[in-house]
Amino acid sequence: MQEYFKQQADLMKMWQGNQEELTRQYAGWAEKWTAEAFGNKQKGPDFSEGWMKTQQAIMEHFRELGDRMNGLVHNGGNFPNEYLKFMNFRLFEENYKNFLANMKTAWGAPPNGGDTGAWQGVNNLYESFMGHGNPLLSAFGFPKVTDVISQTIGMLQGSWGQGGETFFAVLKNYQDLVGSLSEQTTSLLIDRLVENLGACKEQLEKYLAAPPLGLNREMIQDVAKGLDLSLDYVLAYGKLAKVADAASRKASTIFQTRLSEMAANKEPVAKFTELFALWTKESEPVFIEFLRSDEFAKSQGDFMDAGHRLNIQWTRLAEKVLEPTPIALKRDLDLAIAEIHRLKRDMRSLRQEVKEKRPRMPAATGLQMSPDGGDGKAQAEVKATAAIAKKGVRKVEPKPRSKVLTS
Amino acid sequence: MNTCANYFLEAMEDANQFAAKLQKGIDNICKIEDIKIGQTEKELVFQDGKRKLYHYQPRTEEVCPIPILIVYALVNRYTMLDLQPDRSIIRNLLDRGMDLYVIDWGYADRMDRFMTMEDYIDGFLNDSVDVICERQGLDAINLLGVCQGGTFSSIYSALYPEKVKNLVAMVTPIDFATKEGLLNVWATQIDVDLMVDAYGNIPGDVMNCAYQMIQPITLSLQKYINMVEIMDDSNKMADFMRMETWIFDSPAQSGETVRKFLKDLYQDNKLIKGDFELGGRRVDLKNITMPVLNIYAQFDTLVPPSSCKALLTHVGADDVEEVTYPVGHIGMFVSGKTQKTLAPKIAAWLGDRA
Repeated sequence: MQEYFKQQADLMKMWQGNQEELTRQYAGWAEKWTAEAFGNKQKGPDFSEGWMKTQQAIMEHFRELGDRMNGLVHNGGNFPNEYLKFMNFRLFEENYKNFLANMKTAWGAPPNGGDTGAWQGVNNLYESFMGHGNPLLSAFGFPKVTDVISQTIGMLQGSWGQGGETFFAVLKNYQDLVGSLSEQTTSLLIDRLVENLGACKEQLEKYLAAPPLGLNREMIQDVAKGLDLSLDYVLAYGKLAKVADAASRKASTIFQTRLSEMAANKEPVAKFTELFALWTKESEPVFIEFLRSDEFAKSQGDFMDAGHRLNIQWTRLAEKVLEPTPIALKRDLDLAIAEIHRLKRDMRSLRQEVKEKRPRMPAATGLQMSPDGGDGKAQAEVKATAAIAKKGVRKVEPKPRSKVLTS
Repeated sequence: MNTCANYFLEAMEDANQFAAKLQKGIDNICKIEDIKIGQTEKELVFQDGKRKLYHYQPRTEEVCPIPILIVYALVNRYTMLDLQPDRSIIRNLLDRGMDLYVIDWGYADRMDRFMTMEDYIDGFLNDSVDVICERQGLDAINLLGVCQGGTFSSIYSALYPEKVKNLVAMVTPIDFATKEGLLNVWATQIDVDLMVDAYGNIPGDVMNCAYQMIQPITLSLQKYINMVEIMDDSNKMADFMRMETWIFDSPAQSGETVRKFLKDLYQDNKLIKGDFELGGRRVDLKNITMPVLNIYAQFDTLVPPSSCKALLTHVGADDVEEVTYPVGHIGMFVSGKTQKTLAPKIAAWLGDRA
């Protein structure tokens, strides 16, 4: 067992080395990028600090875990408290908090909490691109995006601890993000945003794809994938917004030109409703032409696909969180519903088989299933109906409300 | 001669009037108590879970011997055909001696996640036809399919031609490879499997969002600006609200049905290629040998005319007729033009073939 831990420690050391190298490269790149992108020498936020601390914390965590496991195996010590709690399905709330705590610990936050964990590192990275201090974004008054992303990262950190609401809140935040992007972006900004987010994702992916360690490694990987997919989603939105922006500008130019022409011809639009009608008339064809384009269809398709991938991943994460609880999961319900559906189909087939094996009844026998319940009057009516049908016209007699047949 | 200042004052005055109308209109809306649609009298005659078959109370002393089964789309609700007494295709048909049944597909929920096109067509649609045949001692009835319900009816008629006396297809998509329709263009670029796996059932709002994007400004903004103009007229406002009620009365779509409908039809256009299968049977439109009346809307942006017109070139029937109206998809059912002509046309055509 000690040999195993030694191997793990060596692996960890190697991984840390790689991460440090990557961080150094990234820090250099980002500094250069900040300077070049904004045409000044303002120094970007020091996102590398949190990252370096993260690596150290992961090492600390790993060593601590190793020691405890070692103690457990060799000295018959108690299983760490938090893992016992984690297995106690009756204490869902405790469990959920504990899960988040474990997640934080595994990512490197100090055991007593604090804000220098890996998620903070990720947050810092975002901040470096999107933060208030970023001259590009702040120039366009872009605080909401940063807030939304920060909140989302905060939730992933578990710092909000709001139980089942968390994942819905994450999704809602992205909707807000999309909303804020659509409200505040300009063509130039969208271009830069897409470019920058693309670069951000490229760098972040290396971090997220690094093999996680520890008891919750699968969960960590899933969360990392969720974050990666969320970046895809934002990027896909950015690309969609970029193509939409071009159409919007074109429509706006046409509308303004038309307004100018009308003013020049001394026919200005003074009524609000007329102005709006004119805007619709002049702009909508441009938008429809754009919506008809393959470019839009492709961008929209990519955006929807990214959203659906993210949705599936969040569901997967939510199910992982709920797994140890007595709450039925979506996949359990889907299995049950599929099974019920299959049984219903089997029943239907059997009914059909029975029906086919039965000799075809004359029209009057239909009374067994008829709404009138099979009395003589109804039988006569059906016979009459069949006879009249052949003639071409059916006489309608008022009849009482019938019983409902069910399959 | 007007000056800029005059224009500005004029515009301000107009804005004030607009705001006043809006305020009055809001008071008016508050007085509208109950928005009811689909009020023509009918009775439930058959039910399987959420799916129901209704029979309309005849409104004439004599009725056509062959009843019509109306098959509406899974998207939105059949109440479009009976929006209000003076805008009701159903009422107009009843007034012309038609004997009408309608399928109500209900509101799909989580339990319907795995409902397939087979379940809808081979299942409830077929059961409904059987129930009507047994009720009235007939071997075959008339089918009137609307929009996606027309596609379902066409598939059904190809699989069970012996049970369909006449087929009336209204604004029915058959050729899905057209580029005239935005839905057709968009659908090709969506990973349908991902969408269904993510959503389960596709929420009605998602569908509505797509429909609104077809005329983004008109449907999301312009119509509400126009609404202000009629807000002080209670009757017009009630009409408007009824339409709004119908538009946003949008059931979710069963996941597995959407999967097949979008993949096999919108993406692969299998129906007119003769590759479409239902329950393991190939659907050959050439099997549609009964008389066919194909009705489509000239300005339909949801189901473009080219998609509808393909029906008659692919069926095996000799007795076919095509009718078009200068309206849009919804206008087909509610516009003043069609109210006067559509139902009489259908009634006369079916009457000749009873």
